Amino acid sequence: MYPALLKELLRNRSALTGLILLALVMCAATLGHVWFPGDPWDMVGTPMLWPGEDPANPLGTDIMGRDMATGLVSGAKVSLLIGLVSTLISAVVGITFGALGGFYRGWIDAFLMRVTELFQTVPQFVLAVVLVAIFKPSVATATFAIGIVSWPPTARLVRSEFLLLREREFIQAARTLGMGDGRLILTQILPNALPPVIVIAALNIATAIQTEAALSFLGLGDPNVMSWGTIIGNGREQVVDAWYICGLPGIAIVIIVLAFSLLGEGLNDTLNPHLKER
Amino acid sequence: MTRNRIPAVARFLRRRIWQVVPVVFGIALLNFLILQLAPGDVVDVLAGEAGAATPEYMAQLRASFGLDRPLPVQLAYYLKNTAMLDLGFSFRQNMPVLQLILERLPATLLLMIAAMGCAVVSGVVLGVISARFVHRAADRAVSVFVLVTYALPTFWLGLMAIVLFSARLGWLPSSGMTDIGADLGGFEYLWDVARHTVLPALSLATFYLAVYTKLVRTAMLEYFGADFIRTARAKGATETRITLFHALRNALLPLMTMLGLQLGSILSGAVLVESVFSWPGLGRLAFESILARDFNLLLGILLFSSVMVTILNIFVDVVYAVLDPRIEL
Repeated sequence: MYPALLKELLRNRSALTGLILLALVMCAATLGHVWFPGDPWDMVGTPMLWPGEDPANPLGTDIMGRDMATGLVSGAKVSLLIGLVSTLISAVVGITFGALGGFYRGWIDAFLMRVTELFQTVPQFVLAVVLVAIFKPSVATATFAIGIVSWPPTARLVRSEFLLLREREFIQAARTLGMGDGRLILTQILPNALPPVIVIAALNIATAIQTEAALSFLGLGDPNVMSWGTIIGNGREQVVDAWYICGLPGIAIVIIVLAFSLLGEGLNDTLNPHLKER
Repeated sequence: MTRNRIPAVARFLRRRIWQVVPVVFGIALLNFLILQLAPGDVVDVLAGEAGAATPEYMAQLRASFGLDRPLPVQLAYYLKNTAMLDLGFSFRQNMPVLQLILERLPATLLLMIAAMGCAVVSGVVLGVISARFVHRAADRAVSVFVLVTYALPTFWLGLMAIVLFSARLGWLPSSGMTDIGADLGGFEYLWDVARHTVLPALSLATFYLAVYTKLVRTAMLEYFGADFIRTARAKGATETRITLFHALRNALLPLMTMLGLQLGSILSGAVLVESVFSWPGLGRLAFESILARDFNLLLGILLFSSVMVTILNIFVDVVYAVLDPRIEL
């Protein structure tokens, strides 16, 4: 099943474009260190060199004379890491809430949905800001905060899938065979509920990367880690004189967000083919 | 809306306003939990790191939180303070938190309404165009545009807009809500505010524009196949009339639902846009409180903005009922 799925995914134009862009960013995050091995915080050249002005710093330097290319490479790694891990957290929380609510219904469902609604009412970014500010900015708190604010849509989706699936005949059959709740949820219902969750996860990664950039732009990034948002935040005072300092990391964010949105769109077409004509 | 619906709206509002209570309770509980888990005791966190608060105030705060009492009692104290809308005092700004927030509220509301107006209008226009010419050149152009605007970080777009439209072209002001020092009255004042609103509102609008365009396109395509559209066609209605009066009117309903769901996210976007454009609203206040490590103010903003989202949602429901008479309030 999986090789066939992969083949179809590669035939989908959105997914293929997304995968190519993603591969580019991954190359930057890994191979980039070979070309630009330095510490992104080191001041290596004349401050505010424009891209192309000096071959030693091909993408220029920032206000403090730090190499832009090294900073961008470091940012790619941070973005991918925080995007993936925080989405994993939000998927685990969302699936747990949705699965328990949809499977057991009744008061458990009512309680869990209340909590979900509360988290949907709170302005998500403001909550993330509060969490990161109070628990001290770091990669770990940012990842955790982004995961904690982004799970409600997943929970709702999983819940609605579970509500439908639990009435299906094959589940009734498994139940009649005496299968316990835990096994029923994990081995029978969940695998069938996963396809839309995968789509929403790909889109969540895109949002998480934007949220991380926004947090570090506001000065809530890890003080020891150079991320794209940090570079933009540091360059904003000089944005009129040297727009490339804010411009380049912004373009990098656009590319990576495009990659995951396209991938999500492509996955949606391949996993939910009945919606293709829309 | 006919006249006999007005008492129904009033009754609905009276009933719905009570829904604010569990939200306030929930957020207060969440805030309390965050404060408990944070390093240091509640007062250390609230009074900020650098110790701007006087020792007397710290002692008073400790007493008001009942920090020498067991945890449930502390929670009761915290909930009581919140229920009485006592959000505490901001030592950095030397003003009660609630007063600070209320002062900044109108600017944020103006920004949100302006941005939503732009996003809804242009989202509807683009959505209608791409549904009308589905799978043709116009549709493809719109979908590429939507894809890119969706990926643009709001705050970055704002910065780039400042570079282009304020610095290079000099068309529009880049910060604040009015010109500092200019003492304008009447229409000149309104014009000044409007000019300052353009860039922040458009930056905030782009992301939602993408969402609304997609939504309107999907909904319209769905309705183009519906029975009532076929009936209208059979009666000889023109394509334009069918698009605008039959399909679009129905497509506005999912748009309203989405708008209600996204109010929190729009407010979040406003935080970023306001800190880019020095817009004197809640978001700018949040940014200032981050810089000053004024966590009491930050928690107050979180509570207040959640309440605001709930209240705005009630209004969205009323508008929804006006658009769709089948909905009972």
